[in-house]
Amino acid sequence: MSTFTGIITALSSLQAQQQAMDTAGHNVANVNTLGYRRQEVRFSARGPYPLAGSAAGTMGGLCGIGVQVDSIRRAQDEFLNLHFNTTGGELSRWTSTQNALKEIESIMAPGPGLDLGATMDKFWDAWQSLSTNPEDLSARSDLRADGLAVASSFRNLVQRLRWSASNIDSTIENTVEEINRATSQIAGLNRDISLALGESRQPNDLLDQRDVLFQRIAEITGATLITPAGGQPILNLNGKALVQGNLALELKAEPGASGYLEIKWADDDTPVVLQSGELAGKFQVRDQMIPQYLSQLDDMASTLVSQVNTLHEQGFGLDNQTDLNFFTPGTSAADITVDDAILDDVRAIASASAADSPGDGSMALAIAALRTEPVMAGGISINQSWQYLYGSVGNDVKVAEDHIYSAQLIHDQLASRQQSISGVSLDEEMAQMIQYQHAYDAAARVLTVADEMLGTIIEQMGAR
Amino acid sequence: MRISTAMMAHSVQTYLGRATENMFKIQEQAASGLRINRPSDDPTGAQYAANLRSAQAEVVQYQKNVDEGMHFLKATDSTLAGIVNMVRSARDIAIAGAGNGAASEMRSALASNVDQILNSVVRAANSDEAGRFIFGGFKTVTPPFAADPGNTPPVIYSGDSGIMMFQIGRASNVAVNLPGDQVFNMNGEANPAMPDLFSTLNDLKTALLAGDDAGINAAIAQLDDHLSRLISMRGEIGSRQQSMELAANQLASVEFSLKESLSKTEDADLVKVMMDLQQQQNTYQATVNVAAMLSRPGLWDRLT
Repeated sequence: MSTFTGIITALSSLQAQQQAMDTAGHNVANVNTLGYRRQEVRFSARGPYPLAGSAAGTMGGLCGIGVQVDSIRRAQDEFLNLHFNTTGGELSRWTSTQNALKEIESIMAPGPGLDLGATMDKFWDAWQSLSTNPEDLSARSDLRADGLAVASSFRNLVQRLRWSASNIDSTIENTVEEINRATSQIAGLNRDISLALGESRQPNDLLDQRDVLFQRIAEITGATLITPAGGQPILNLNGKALVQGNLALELKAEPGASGYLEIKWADDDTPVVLQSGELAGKFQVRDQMIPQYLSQLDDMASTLVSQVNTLHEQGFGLDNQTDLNFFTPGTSAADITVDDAILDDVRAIASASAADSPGDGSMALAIAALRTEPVMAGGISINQSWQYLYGSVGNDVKVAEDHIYSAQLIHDQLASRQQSISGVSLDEEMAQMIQYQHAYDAAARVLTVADEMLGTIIEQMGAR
Repeated sequence: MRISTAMMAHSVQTYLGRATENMFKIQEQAASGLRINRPSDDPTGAQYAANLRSAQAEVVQYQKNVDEGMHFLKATDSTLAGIVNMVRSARDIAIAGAGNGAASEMRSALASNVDQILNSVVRAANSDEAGRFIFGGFKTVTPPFAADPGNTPPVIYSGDSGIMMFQIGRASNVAVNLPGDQVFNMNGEANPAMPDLFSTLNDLKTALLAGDDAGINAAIAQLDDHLSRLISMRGEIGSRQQSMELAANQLASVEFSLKESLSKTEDADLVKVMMDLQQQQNTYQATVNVAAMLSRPGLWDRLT
């Protein structure tokens, strides 16, 4: 045992407490930092020293020589993190679905009396009015205006739905760039982390940063983490490693068969199939829901055109014209329009079942009866088909909202459990700082005493 | 559970957010008076409401059709009434001129009366309702009857036998017009054994001028037949008016019940909304108060 052991012991404590104090300061400083995990200093007693002059093998033969900082631990739960990333992906998937659908809902349901259903009601009413007043040119003009309104309602809906889809599409490229940026950052962090670990340093703050990036990518793509024993976590997307070690694979957005952007792996051009995350939600709306709404609108429009025309062709106008279409023949809601013959002269609208019968409204009445006739697949009328579409858009929004509600609950709960483990508590840090401060004071006191003891030896003994 | 500082702030944020969102929803209901402000608020209810609104529009249109039909029937009825009176006076004239060897001056005066009646009946037969000739069948834009003096028959019918049907319910169409060939027995349309009303009147005029008693008596018999047909046609119009009125009443009650159903489906219960709003405001207030208390630092300010 050396003369200076006491000083060394005290010094080790001073250094260790200082380090702990610094860590508490670091925690306090990062109380509001995104993804920051609380750090804890772990102390251990320094390796004991055999006492000189004591018999070997007897108890108490070892003398402690102070404290050392073992590690600075990062308070976290790996399993919670994984779970948190998964629910984050689910939550952002439904949130992006809901955002896109909310817009579509407001397109489809602008308010009572303003939607396509109300426009069609007016159209059928106009045929009824014509059937009671077939000679009346103003009833005919009204009908033509209502026919034009139905046609433009269809076309507007198609246009705005397509616009919604291309709106979604226009965000894809930026998102892919964000993913690529994040994955290359992760690869860089992986390199730094393995360097630090190789030098037996604990790269806590780098790990925090990497976790934030993992979380962001999970939110966008639903990518999952696989941690092989003893290795660094692999970011796995679609059964392929998006980032492994310091290698990040790039994604790219390219126009697919549908004309919209598809996400592919840049290395082998295979498409990325997304099951969760913001992008999956966007793709669901863009590639499934909007096309489904559009095809239902097409069904309605083509049925309307063909049914009205079939009757209209058999009828006679005020000018005795017959075999005319009311709507320009077509099968798409995107280009439905009132036929030129009708636009040119409202007298061409066929209201009668025979020529030279200006007072005959029977064909108009037959066309008006289409309102309730089950002419659509499934034995429903065109109006009912609209009501069904209207309700199903509402239902799709509701389903997304319900998913958000439950995903949010789970996510919040996980977040609070994670925070409970990893978050900084200012009170706690304060208490610990007091603890470390006292320990530091005491160590300083030990140093003073050791110094005095040395003084006794050096000065008083030397003076003799 | 260990509570970190950020957790407290975050949970306050979450709860405040939730309270505000709930309050917003209730405020929206209070402002619009509607429980369903967009389909996703209640997809089934919204779909049902859309269906009800469509049915409402349908009923309103049927009501318009009933109004139109009533106008037409009324015009037909009053015109028929006038014609019945004219035929009656023609019959009175015929009786006055028959049998008793009346002086020829008197009979020629009677004959000219009959001629005037004939012209009046032609005018009445060409009556229109808002520009539509009511006795022309489907030929509503040109006068259906034209005098053709000196020929047989003395009046030509250019209308047809078209019957206008107005829809006054999902499965209920009502005929609103009487085609002129039926009313005046043109070409024996109503009774093949008899000439038309105009021919009868013309024959009566000729018989009166000629002092032909047999002819006058034959005309009287024909006029009786015309009268009974015209009267039964008025009865027919009357019963159509009745069924229209009945339909109007039914439509009004259907409209009312649709309105009621729609209100039940999508209207907000304002009393409940007010209560909910109050409750949400209390919750919000409490959350804000808690937030204010939380923001005070704990151990921190005790030690410094």
